[in-house]
Amino acid sequence: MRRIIKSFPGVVANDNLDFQLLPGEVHALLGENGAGKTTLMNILYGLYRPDSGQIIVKGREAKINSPRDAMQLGIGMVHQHLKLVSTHSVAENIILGLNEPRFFLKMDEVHDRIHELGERYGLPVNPQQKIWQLSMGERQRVEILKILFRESDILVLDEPTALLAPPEIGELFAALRRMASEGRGVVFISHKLNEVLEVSDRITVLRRGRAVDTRRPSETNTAELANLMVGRPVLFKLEKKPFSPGAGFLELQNVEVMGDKGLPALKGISLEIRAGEILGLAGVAGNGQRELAEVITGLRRLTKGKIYVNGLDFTSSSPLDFLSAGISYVPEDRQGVGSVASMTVAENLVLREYRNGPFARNIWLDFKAIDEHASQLVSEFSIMTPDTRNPVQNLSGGNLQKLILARELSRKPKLIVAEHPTRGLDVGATEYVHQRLIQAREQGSAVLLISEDLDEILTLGDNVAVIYEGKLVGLLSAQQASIEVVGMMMAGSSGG
Amino acid sequence: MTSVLGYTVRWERRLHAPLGLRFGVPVLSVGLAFVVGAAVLAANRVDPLRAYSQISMVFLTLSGISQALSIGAPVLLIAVGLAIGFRTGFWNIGAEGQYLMGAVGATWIALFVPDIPPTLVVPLMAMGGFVSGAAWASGPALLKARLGVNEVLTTLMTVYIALQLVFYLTLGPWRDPLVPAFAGTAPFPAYARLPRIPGTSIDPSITIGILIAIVLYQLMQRSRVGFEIRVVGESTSAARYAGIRYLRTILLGMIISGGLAGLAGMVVVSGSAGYLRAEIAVGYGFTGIIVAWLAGLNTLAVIPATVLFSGLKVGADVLQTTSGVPEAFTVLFQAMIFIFVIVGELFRLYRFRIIRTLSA
Repeated sequence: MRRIIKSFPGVVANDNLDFQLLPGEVHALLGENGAGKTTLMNILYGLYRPDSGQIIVKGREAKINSPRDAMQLGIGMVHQHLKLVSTHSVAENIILGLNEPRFFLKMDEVHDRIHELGERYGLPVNPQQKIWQLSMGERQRVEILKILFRESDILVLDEPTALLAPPEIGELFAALRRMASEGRGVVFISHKLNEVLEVSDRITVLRRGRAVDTRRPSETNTAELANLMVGRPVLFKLEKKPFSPGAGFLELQNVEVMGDKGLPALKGISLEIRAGEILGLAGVAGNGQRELAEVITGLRRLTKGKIYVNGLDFTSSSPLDFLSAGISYVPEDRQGVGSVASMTVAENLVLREYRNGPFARNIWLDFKAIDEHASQLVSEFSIMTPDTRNPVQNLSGGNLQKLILARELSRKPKLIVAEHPTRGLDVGATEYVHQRLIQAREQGSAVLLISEDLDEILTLGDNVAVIYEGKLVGLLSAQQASIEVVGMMMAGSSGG
Repeated sequence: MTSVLGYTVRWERRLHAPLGLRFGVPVLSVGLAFVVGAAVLAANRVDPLRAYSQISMVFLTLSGISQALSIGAPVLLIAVGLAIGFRTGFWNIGAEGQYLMGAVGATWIALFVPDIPPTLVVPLMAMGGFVSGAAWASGPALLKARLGVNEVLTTLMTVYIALQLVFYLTLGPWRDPLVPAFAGTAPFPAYARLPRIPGTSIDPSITIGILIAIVLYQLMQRSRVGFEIRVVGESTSAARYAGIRYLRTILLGMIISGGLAGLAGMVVVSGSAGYLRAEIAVGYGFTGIIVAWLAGLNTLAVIPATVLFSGLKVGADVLQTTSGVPEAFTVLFQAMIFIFVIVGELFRLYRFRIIRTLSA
């Protein structure tokens, strides 16, 4: 891709960018949110047209006007937000959009081929399962298999590790190496330095729409890459006061619930979170973390057990009761649960507080107060938006996450349930969110930090709980915990 | 994507729907309906220009306007209610049935509840109409909220139940004993009729409808309940997360939309008709759906959309008598507007571009 320029109203997303992918390499595109990584790849995939510049595929200049053109050139892309039909099966999603076969689907053959591809790349899925029954990690495998099924030789993966747990990341990397060794070219978009160093053959760093430099992992290190990416030196240390927990705020006794698939998702969880404590919950995706978060926020009914908030029985309380008790929730699903796409930044910032003063006066909402509140949070959390009346569907993933964090942290919560709070955030924003969580702890909030990023859990957490198949399999203090021990527990080994 | 003669059409989702299109789409839809309608008229050997000038007379003469307003009131009430109901994400296709049940409730009070002081009859009829329409709508609402039953089917089916109920009542227990040859109730007494503005055939219902449209617009944009309705309509899981009571909110949306359709039924039996007959089911409930969409589910925009639709209806009636244009033309015209609005929605959400592709 040569001298690519693409601008959107108000921003130049790609500013005279050159990028070269060789066959048989894993090439990382590294950069902060808004650096232009996704825009560049969307151009390659035919979703956007560049204002100027050339694309040369396999030695020939290509005009790519649509994903279909891209696919015909052997280019496949896995988007950050997966694009699957959730009521269809894995196999149906994989063949969706294919020209062949014309009329009669030979599903058995399709199933066999999916099995075979899954085995070959270490990405097993059951082709007959429906998408909604799968974890995020499994859904991503489906997207990758979809590309492999089409025999693409240029694969673009947009922040693929954002959805995965450490063991799954290892499997993904093995699959990527395998694809490269077969002569395919893989573009790996990320802003995680360690991962980029681990898997890539070459790394191109983008900053504000420009390609800053291309390095080999052997020639560089995390500090230098962070510096290139952010444009200033980055600190990797956090200041944290010693742990001095207060009274218990939330207690679960022997809690059991059903998951969406109609199977038990939590099997007898007992847990206490104290004021001034950050409890990290580690686990591989789909082991009951989301259900646990939903229990603690009143969104999911218990089939057995008790919940106490501040000593009061909350077992059959409504989501509103949990909300009013001072429990904040940063949900995993930002678009579907955490925000309302067509409503404005200002309205979304009061989504959970609109009924309380100063935003509500009897039956009316006070939009002056709502707008002022929004302006303040937008600058405090540096949410990038032209104004507070902008519908949130126009915000990027990272900015939407900042908006949700701004809303949940600014409520002066007694307990924050944070599900993957820094997923999709760049280095600078992650640093800021970590500081805010520690600040909340110092002001006496309890924090339940659900994350698959073990570094995050071990640096922020005072204690670490490990969940596996709906049960807590370990509870240790952050000092005792090491990545190795917690990783073993996450994989279901009871040792430690 | 297929290319024709070296050109390809492709679309991109718009980040901001331009304001011009929000007004442009409905205006253009109506304009296109006129153009296609002209072709249909010409094919039927009617001079389209003469026909359209006759229709436009409706909007220029007092009798035309008063006729348009008198049929406009029920459509306005129904469309305003539907705009709110649709905003909660509840696809109420059964306004026609709620309208009929409102007429039944109002008739019951007018003719069969003894000993009401005459001055209270009309207000009680209005309440009866609202409550009956709302109650009729709440069945499908409960079925959806509790059991997840598809409301498009249930609301539509309840239209036919309501219609059969009206047939039963007007042929059976409520039949006018003085004119047993007709299926209909006795004429309402004068105190059960809406007063008329002297010298016209307009009753005050249209003003009430306009007031309701304005109040509901304010409620939707600026009240807590309006905020809740907008959140629920977009995402039920976000609504639960926000602590909004889903059941209560969609029931409220249904009460407003069913209730206003019921009120429209009362307006018809107490205003222009003066009795209950199955013939009052002329499709206002379905026209209301089109009007609500033409107005982009904005209750203020429902007002001009209603004026347009009822004017066209009156104009088409005039055409029928003077030029022999069949009544079906009105339906055809309305359907075209609807189709163009739906297609226009695509242009509002996406940007289309024609691109030169590699030519051979």
